[in-house]
Amino acid sequence: MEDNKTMTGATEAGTSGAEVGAVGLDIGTSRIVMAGGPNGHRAKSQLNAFVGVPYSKMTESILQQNKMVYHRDGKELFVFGNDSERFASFFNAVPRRPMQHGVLNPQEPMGQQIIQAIIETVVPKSRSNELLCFSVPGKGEGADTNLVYHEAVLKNFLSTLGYESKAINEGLAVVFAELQNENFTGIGISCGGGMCNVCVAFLSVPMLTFSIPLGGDYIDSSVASVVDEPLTRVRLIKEESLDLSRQPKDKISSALHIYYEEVINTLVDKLREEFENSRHLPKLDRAIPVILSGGTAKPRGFLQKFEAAIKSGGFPIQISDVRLASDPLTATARGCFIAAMSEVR
Amino acid sequence: MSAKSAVSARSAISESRSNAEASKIYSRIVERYAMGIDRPEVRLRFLNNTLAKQAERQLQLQQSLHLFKFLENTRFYDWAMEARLYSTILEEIESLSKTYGGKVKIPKVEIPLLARTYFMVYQSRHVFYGLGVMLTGLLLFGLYSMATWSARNVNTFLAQRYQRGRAPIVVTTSGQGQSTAFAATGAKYLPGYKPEKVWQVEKNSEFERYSNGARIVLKYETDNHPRGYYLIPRGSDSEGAQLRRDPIGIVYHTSESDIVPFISSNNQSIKHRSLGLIEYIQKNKSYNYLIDRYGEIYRIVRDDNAAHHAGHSIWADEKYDYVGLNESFIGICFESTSEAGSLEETLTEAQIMEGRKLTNVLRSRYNIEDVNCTTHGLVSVNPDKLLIAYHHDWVRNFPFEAMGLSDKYKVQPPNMLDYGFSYDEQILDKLGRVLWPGAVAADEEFKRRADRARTNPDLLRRRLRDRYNAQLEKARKLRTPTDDSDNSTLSAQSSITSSTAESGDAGKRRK
Repeated sequence: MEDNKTMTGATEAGTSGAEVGAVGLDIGTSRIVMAGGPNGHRAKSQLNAFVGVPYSKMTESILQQNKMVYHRDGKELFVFGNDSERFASFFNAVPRRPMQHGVLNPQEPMGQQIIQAIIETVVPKSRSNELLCFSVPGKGEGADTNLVYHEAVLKNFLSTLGYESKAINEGLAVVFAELQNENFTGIGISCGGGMCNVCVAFLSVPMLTFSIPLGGDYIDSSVASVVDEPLTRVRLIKEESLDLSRQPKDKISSALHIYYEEVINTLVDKLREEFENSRHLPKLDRAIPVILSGGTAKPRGFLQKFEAAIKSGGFPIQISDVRLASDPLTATARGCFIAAMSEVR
Repeated sequence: MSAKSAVSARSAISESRSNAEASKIYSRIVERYAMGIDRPEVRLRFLNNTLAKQAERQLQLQQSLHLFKFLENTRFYDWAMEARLYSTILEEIESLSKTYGGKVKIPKVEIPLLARTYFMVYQSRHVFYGLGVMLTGLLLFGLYSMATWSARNVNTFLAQRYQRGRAPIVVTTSGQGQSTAFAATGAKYLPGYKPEKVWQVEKNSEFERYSNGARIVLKYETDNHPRGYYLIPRGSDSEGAQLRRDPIGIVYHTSESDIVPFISSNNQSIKHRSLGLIEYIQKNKSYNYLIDRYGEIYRIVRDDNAAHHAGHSIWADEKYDYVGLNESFIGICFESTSEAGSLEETLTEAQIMEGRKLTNVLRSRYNIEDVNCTTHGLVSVNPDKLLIAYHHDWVRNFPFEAMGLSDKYKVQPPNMLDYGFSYDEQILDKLGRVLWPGAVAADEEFKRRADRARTNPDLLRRRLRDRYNAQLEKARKLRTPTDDSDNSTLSAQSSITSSTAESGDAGKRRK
């Protein structure tokens, strides 16, 4: 076996099928999701995380027996994607993230290699320079400086897979995915692991985009810190049993409520502020909808809390309704797919 | 549409939307049609392309109308923008139909008639461009034609008004239909002007009588020096080599002498004045012939001798130039005069009739071509000042037709055409401010000739004057010392000084 190689014991995207004409790719801090197929309904997703262990023949043998995807780099083995979570709990380790706050994590030396390896598992190789639209965060605190580098590195990598790639704002992608009936007019919000992305679009044209560096990871780490519980346990409770519409029943739930409210309030306040400061918004003569998507928006009660936050302090524009995306985890990828398809001749 | 242009168009949309209320209306229209498209990516494409194109066209229209800003607040602007929008919608829907065919539900478009018309016009714009170019071409051609037509008419009008600028007319010689070299345009309507055959019927010591009724009184006949001149090829710089001694043409003069009204009560006075004139002419050997007011023809200087009637003078036919016409041309003088400035020489009917007879006699006897029958005013020059019409008798109004000759006023005078003599204000004043048509044409032709030779007309004139002087000098050398001594007047007249030029006609009796 070579020293530096990606091996797979399970899923592998391989080459594209005949259906590939355009691809949508959501490159989020916590997940990488691909939407493709005739209607964009075929989705593949991998956790954007990895776990590194020292190389040994026995470890590698275990990985192969369990059909896990891993990457060997010298004397280290890296298990990444969905398997990383299972592997982390197996070894009681904390998964590492190639991205942070929506862009490549500069403190993670293996970040680029791992993210490439993950993308290769979800995106088929292009045969004829097809168009791939991938999501990028909007400008905001923490994302400004690294955004150009992040976008350039990903474009470069996607071109090696044979794609002509184009970056789409994550919030706009949500608008494309969910606001067809409104002619792509409304507010798309993607609440991901690393940050929340917002886009106000009018007839598909982004009028206002921004991001805040708060997301699922912030909630998880904050809660884990204040309740002194392992991060994986906090995340497990958040994803499986958290209901923000009910009173918290334990310490962890209570902390989760608090940090969720902080994220929601920060998001709504920022949105209000941006509206008030923006000079380029058209004067809307009707109410527009808000679409929430992303893993952080999934817990029960999030929608109601967000709606309440909007209504509580007043809002500069009329909101017709606040909705959760039909599939919050794939909305961004589907939006990217629609954007790519719209440009395919 | 490229990503770059879409982005710029989008920013354009943003800018224009922020300040254009009308954009809202356009957006609603676009939205209405977008709602009919079922697939999201197709709808997105429709919206993106339509709005981007509309924004581009709005910018284009604004740029086009930047000098007419006020139009942006008019109904015309709104209508143009709306029509353009509908046109864009139709274009995009057509494009989608082609791309997706039946896979996508494309809305049935109900578009206002005006907008459909605009779209149709827009689609056929290249045809309209072509038509526009053609119409512009036709318009320009029409304007050009109209301008040239107007200019021609104005020119004709002015020429008629001032009797200037008429094109010279071909003068045919000997009825052979050949044009002279100095004629600028052809004219077939002129008759041949071939002289009738005239022969001598009777001759005695007092007169000669001819078959056309001409009677020539010989009582005052006298000798001068024999004729002698060289044939100078037309337009050449040579002084001529071929010597001739017979007359080649006729120059008509007036005596410019004192006359009294032509009435019966003045008979004695008329006769007396005529006699005085004859004696004067005889003494000075001024002309070959004189026709008095009763039409009597007197031969003064014998035909084979030169008279002093046209000192500095130039004429030409199609082959040769003639300088110093005393030697080569017969001088016929009509006893007449002219009012100062009026240029109207008055002839009696008898003079006209006898003038024609004498002309025919001489033409018949010496085979003189019509082209070489001219008047003193047309041949006279002042070489010092390079001016024409030093003597201006018959510079107008000579009855050429009555003499059976073609109109030489229509011919470009060789002294101007070939030798570059011109005129000045003084000459014009002398001619009553009117040049004869041939002179106008010759003057213009000479300037063109100088242009072709890429030289200054005045320089060319001086060079040609030198040629004239050289030619005249060579002819003068033909005369024997005896001739000169016998004819001191001739010597004086043939010299190249201005004083002699001014006395070119020894026979004229000034008032």
